[in-house]
Amino acid sequence: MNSNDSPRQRFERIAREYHMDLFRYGLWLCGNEALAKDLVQEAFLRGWKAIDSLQDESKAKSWLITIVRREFARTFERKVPPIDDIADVVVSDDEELAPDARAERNLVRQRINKLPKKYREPLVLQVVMGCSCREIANTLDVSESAVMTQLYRAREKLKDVLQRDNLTGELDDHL
Amino acid sequence: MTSKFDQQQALDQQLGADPRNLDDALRVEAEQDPEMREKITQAEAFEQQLEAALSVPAPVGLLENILAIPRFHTSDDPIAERKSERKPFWARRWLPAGVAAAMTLVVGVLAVTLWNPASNSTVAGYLSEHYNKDGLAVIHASAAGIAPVEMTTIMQQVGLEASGLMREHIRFVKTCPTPGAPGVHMIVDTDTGLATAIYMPQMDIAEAQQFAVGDQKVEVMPLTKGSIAVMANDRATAQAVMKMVDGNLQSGLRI
Repeated sequence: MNSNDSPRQRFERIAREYHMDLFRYGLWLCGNEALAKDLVQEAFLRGWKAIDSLQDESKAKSWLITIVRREFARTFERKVPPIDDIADVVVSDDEELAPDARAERNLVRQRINKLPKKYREPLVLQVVMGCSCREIANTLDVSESAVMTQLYRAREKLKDVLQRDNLTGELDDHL
Repeated sequence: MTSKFDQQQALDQQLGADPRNLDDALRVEAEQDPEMREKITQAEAFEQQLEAALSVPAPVGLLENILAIPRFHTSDDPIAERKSERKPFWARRWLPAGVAAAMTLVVGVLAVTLWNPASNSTVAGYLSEHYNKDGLAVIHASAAGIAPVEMTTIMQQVGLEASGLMREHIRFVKTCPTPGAPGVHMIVDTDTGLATAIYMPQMDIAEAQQFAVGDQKVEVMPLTKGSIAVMANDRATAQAVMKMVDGNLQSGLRI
């Protein structure tokens, strides 16, 4: 990082680094692609307006995540209907996969989407945004041990239901 | 000394909660124990499956729209400036509304002659440039309103006709440059604020699109001829205007 970089250069660097993961986080948070794009756009808009006060770029990630969460809670949570099928939301990116592998990935996505938010959100923050348990605890305003419990349960629930899906060959709606 | 049972429990907990930061001591123990080693292998495979599933692709144009933000916001408090919708100095109360409209028409004509929209032929790119150029100026100018006859005349020039709810809510209309042909720039009044609608007679799109340009939420829809873009401060307003458009805006009429 060059301390002589202009605000615009710093903003572009932050945007290039975080835009994709932030969109993924927003999408898994709200289950709606258009709204996820709006959340991300809003987060970066605020990031640009505060760029002069954001001297430590390592803090940008957690700051952007916080804006997305608050905007979602404030504006969209009441208006977004539950998404039943993540395949309706996610554009297929799996053309290079064999049909079985593609079906398996879609199944995993659907199961992740059906996780309660209290398990899904820390999981996405950890796997997509690369947050540590401490960072997740700060973001969600809970204890680190609570985060670890939620992450453990998220993985156990997923493994359990995916194992049942594989055994039965059909979607089991009990999660 | 920790029992093997305790070690396996600790390993299960860590693999469930934070598999990417496995304790070094546990990892060393696992190397000596086939059962523990197998658990780590399975956990790593599951993490790869999770990561692949969570890594959905970003929509086309997302980064470009974000990188365009600085072009829209160069003043200290652009949102406050826009929300107040202050009239520019030349349109304050001592200036008759008709003069303000005439000046806007002059600006519009100059814009048509000086700006070449063909330089950016993607929908988002064109809208970004267009709104950056005169989006706010047209909103300010719309305070002057427009006579129904004048609105009809301007729209007819591009084969467009508004009826019903759409017509009732259009507050201002002017011609504007769009890729390939002149189009129409409208300001639409809604219960939740003003929206900008731009008719692009030669911008053909296959299906409806949604994205953002700066802080404007954008909805684009194909029409019989060309397409229409609606831009508003919030998604709900943009969608409400698009609902008005549907069935109440005819394009491709004989000019």
